[in-house]
Amino acid sequence: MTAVQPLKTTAWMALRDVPWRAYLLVLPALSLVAVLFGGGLVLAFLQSVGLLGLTGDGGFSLAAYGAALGDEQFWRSLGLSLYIAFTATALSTVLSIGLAMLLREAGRWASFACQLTLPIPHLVGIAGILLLLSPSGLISRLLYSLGWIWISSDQDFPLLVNDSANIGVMTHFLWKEIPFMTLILLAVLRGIRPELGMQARALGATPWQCFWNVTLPLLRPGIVSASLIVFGFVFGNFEVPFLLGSTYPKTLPILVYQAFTNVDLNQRPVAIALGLLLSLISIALIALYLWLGSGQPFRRRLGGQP
Amino acid sequence: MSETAYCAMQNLTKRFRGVPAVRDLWLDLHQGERLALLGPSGCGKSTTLQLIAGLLPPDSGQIVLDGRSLVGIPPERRDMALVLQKGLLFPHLSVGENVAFGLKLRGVNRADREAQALAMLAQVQLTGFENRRPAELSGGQAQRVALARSLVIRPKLLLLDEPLSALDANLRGDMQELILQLQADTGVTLLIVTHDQQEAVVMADRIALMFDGCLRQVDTPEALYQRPSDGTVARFLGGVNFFGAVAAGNRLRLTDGDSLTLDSAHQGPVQVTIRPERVQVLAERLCSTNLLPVTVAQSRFTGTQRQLVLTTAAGLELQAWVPPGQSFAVGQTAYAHLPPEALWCWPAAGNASVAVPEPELLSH
Repeated sequence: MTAVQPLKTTAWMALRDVPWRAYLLVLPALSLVAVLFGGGLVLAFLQSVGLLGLTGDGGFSLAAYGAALGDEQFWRSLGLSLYIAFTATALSTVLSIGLAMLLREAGRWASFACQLTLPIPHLVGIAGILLLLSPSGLISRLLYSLGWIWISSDQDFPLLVNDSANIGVMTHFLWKEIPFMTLILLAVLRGIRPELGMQARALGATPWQCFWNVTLPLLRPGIVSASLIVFGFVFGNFEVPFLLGSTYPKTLPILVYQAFTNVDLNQRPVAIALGLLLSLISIALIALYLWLGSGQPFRRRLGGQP
Repeated sequence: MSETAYCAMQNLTKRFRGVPAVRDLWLDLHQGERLALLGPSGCGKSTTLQLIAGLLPPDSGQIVLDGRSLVGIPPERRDMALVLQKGLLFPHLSVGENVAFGLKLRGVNRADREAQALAMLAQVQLTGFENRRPAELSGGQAQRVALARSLVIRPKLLLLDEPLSALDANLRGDMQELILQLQADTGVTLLIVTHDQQEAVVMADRIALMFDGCLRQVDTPEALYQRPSDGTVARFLGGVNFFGAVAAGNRLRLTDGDSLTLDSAHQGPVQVTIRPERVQVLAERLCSTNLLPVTVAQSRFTGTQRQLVLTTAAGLELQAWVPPGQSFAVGQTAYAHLPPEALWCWPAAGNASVAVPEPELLSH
């Protein structure tokens, strides 16, 4: 038997027994984020409470928050933002699940096709929607040239951009996000063993029960993360509702932008307060969604014994 | 036989891209019977199981279960349960929820299905495991949960597809015991697919041996071992002694000149075989019939027996597996006794050198 040579202890190995080693290792990356993003947040917060700024006496004040929350426009905008974010996320989630199920057996081309819209900038997409859906757009013209009786001029075409129902905005988000979500869900679906479906069928599951009881629960992690990304993105998106959305009310990001670019510099703290509120709401919703999406609140134990 | 058949496969055929995987299969199962579908990899036995379970549609033929034709009946309405290799549990459900899965699909209310699941878990000796996740189970435990999940829905037919091949040898023995016990308790009709002849012998009342999509012989384990229908069957079941011979009534003349006595009558050219464990090796000439003087050419101890290779004066090679207590030195002379009732023969075909599939697991 040969004696085991004691390994040379290096600084790296000394770290091995530190319980929070993993956190220590991400520290460099984390500090970069902390300085650039966290620092910005701190500066923004200081401006919003009047401790730092171009105007005012430099004393602590929550006046900007009061002004933001007291404005009726804020609540209308919040409602609109939530409506757009929830509707767009829900629609793209449901449609993506359906599309992914349809493409489940398809070859590599399906994933490739889903990537096609990814590199297209939102502005190009918006321009496309305007060209297609506006009252003088392609679809309107096509219908007119086909001689559809109810289209005798561009006034007869329903308003689909800058409309109060935000159909143009939804159309754009669905066009952009469905392929993205389908791409993620396809990858998750391909990781689910097909034998599980076979096993469920052999235990008495109809194809629908099989989807509902086996495939969908196994897809859940993918659905949660993909829809979270979509929700966070849509909720904070500026250019799409700005160019395609309803003229009144406007979404929260537009409200922030307008307050920030206002010639009245006294509006600046309000703009920042609005921005911080937007982030807070976003974070709270995402945390709630993650908790619900983990399935933990619904998991129950059998047998009644602890 | 067919009037008592509980489950009957009639003329089943399945092709994949024109290549037949199962050809013209006829097989009957009696109620409460344990039948093993045995064959090498790729012989079509798993395909047959999927045809029975309804996971694949047959190209032709039909299956009748308990008087009902299953043509066009989807898997969920066939009153069967399937256990696959590695006990494929649903990873998102707890052990208890896995067992209750089939009951939930059948609309059994929560209290009832949980009570039944717990009772079933107790039957597979997994009391207290109901709240574990499948990832926390060992292979054997997962397989027991899979069994419980299948039995709790009281299937008319329980299908097991290589259920023990992922387990190690000791565990496999325990699981075989457990499955036999559960089958005896529930009286469920059992069809087990396996490539392991040992497993088939231990688990089944009858064995259906399958090669290249065709059934070759359906018989009791004893009959398969002692009276194989041909050389392919005998070789798959571990047969090693095959000789050409010419029969005249009960007398047999081997091609090398030795002559033997049979306990049944045959005529003309035959193939004769004897299981290596039925050959008796004697140090002295203790009897007179079917005794061949031999030389020990090889002796190998395998733990449970001694495997001898013997050669006769005429150059015939014969394998004998004798109890480990008997010891023979290489080069020693001895006498091989081939009891007439242990000899089995079938007519020699013109050139019946069919490709013999190698058994994947040799008996230990």
